[in-house]
Amino acid sequence: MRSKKQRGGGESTPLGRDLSRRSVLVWGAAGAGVAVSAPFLAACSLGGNAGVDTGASRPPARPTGVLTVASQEPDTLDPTLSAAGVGLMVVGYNVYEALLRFQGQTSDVEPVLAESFESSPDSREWTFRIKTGIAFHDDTPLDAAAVKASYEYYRSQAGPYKLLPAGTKFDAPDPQTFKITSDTPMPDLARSATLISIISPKLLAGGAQAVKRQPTGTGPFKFVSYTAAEKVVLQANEKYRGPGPYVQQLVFAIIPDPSAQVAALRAGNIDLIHKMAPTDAAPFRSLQDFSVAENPAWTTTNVVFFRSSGPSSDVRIRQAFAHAIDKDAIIKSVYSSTGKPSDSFLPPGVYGYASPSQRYPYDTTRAKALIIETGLPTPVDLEIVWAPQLGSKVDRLSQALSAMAKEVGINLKVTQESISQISKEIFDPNSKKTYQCAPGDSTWLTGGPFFITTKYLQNVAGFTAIDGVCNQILLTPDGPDRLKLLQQAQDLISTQLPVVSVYTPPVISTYKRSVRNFVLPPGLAQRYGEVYLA
Amino acid sequence: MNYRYVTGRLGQGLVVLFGAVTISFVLTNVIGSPADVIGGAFMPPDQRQALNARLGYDDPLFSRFVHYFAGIVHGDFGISYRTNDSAIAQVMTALPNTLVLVVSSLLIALALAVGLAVFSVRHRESRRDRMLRRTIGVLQGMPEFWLSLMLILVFSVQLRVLPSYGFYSPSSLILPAVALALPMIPTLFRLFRGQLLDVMGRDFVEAMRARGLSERVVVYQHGLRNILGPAATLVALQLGNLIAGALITEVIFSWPGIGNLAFSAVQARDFAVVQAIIIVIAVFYVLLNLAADLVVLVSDPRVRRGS
Repeated sequence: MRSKKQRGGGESTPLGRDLSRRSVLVWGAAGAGVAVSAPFLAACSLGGNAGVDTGASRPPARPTGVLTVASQEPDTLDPTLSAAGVGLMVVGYNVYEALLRFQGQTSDVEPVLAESFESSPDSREWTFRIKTGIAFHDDTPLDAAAVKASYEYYRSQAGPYKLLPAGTKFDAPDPQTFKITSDTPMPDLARSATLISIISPKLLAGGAQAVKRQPTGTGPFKFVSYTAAEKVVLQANEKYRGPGPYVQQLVFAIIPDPSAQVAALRAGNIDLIHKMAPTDAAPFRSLQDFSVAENPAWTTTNVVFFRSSGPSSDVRIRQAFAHAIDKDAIIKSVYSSTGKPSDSFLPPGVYGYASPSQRYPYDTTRAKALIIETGLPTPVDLEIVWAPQLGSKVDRLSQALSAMAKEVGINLKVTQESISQISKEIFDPNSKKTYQCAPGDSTWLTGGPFFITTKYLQNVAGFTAIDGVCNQILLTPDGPDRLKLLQQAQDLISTQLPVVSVYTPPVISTYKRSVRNFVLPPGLAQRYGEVYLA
Repeated sequence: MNYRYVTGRLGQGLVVLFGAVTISFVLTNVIGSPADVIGGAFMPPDQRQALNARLGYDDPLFSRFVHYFAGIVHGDFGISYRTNDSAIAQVMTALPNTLVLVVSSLLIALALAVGLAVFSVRHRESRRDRMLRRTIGVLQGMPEFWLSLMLILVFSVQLRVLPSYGFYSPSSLILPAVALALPMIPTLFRLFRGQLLDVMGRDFVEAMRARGLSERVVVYQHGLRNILGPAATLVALQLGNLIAGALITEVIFSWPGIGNLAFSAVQARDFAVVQAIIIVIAVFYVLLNLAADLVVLVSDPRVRRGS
């Protein structure tokens, strides 16, 4: 019998094990595998935060860590042009600041760059006292002249929102006083001012191109870079007057696909998703490592009737249509049981919201009775048009409305058109098209009834009956009288139904538990200056 | 030297490029203007017109085309209305990322396809070979977007070993490259396997076996060498398809390449960028085809002599 040595089993080691060729090869391969994969795994960047726990409940003394937020591609970094809101969400309250901002989650305003503000009794003149000791990121000092330059720039750009009446004049009689005057009363100016970013005058001197390329404001973050289809990077403004910023870098990772955003959050590669779809947010509610914040948005989903001829010109047909809508069923089937049914053109939380005196509960019997009253032959033919750019939910809403309308004797045909074509048909009085209404969202950017100044209902729905009360609302400053007039306007809308309100969506944000002090505002722009990482 | 062949191919390439410029301009401009995205359907016409004028979309289509074409000839592909940067500069920034992804995925697909083809040929008609071919058949039926999401779910979300988006480190390349490579494998596998089987049935291979060379040497050193030439030509042409076809993968992984850039530019109606991307892809196709034609010119004496 051969000894272990003769069998090639090797000698005993200090560990007490015999070394054989086989064991050396096996352990050597295992060791090599670990050695090869270690740098590979070390190179793996999981993104997000490897932040040190600083004691969680208090912000750090100095900006620390990187906050990564999922974002769609910004429509533009020029705050005067950003309509889709993504650009505004990125730079609006992070790089830029306005004279005023919304207080918490309300439509009340508080000063930011203004120390104080007041208006004349007729709201034709507004005076802002500008804070001292503040500089833009390029060290240009903030003063009334800089504010005036920003307002003039805003007015010179053909932006999507007319927040300032035509003929508005701006004046800076001294470095700390900025005045806005107009022949037309401007009772909503304070709320509109929250959306007008104050841009460095040195940047404005470079023109619109410079504003798009290198946003420069007074905000808690400085703009670093924007790589299209990749990311926007902002850096903490170390000279910011506070509170914050508490993160060293704010990165907007451009992830266009919502599923990819969700996967990135689950994988820990990003920290926060703002404006998440309800279906995507649902699984996170039960996960301990994540928080889900939800607020009603300042948005209503409506169906606007814009054709002044045809069956829908009869108010009873529109009322019948409103009674035919089972809003709870729509919320369940189309909106995944999130959000609330809407009974008013204005959403709750916006200045002047009031529950209208006339409502339209789901009542097919009443709907059918109204149609019979009109004497029109049934089914009544109506056509609703939607644009693919608005998303598949709008299609599903239209189909649901069509099915519900059918039950009461309205044949609601669903048609798809491009946005530009719909726009042409709405505003062309000689249009040959047959559609009468369109679904869409109305977002109340200014937290107030800006449909008064934009004349949305008059222009789009041809609803001139509201001219009288709107003109009075325009002349009345905020207060009990104005609220009464706004109640009247909403009552008029609800009885005449140029728009049928269906739904108020929520705005949902989901984020890692390590993200602290995140406040979810109902408006457009999201602030990250006071957010910190545990 | 057959100069007529060369100039003919060059001329064809220019015609293709002109067609690409024209068609891309017309198609992108008839779908609407950036004002549609910015203003929506309910923007009053006067505001829409002012916005279009500001963005340079108020002129008639033909005069915009003439202006655009004149710019192309001088190397000016227009400006992105979103960032105010040169459209071609944005595309050139994104293009290397797409090339990295595409070349990596091609290498992965080639390595796997060649290896599996060799295995299949060496064990042909065995149980293992049949199972392999069935598995590859299943792989062919898997949509690219589904594969991408499954890879993210397993390796990023569950195992947390690889990032799910962006291009921030070398490890970011792994999942998108694999997602792009896997659907290519069935086609390449069948190509290599078929060609290898054809080569392995030839007389010179029998002669090598008769001389006592092992099967491994016959396959790897002689069989593979004979199929790599035609395969290289096909793969080079596949590269053009991949550059255009990586869009879905790039969007899902937020890979900062031209596919992702095209997706966001189309959504925002950033026509200058969309057109620049189409032209760059067309140029790639034309150059790759030209390269393949030149390879034929060099390798085939009949073409070289012009007979």
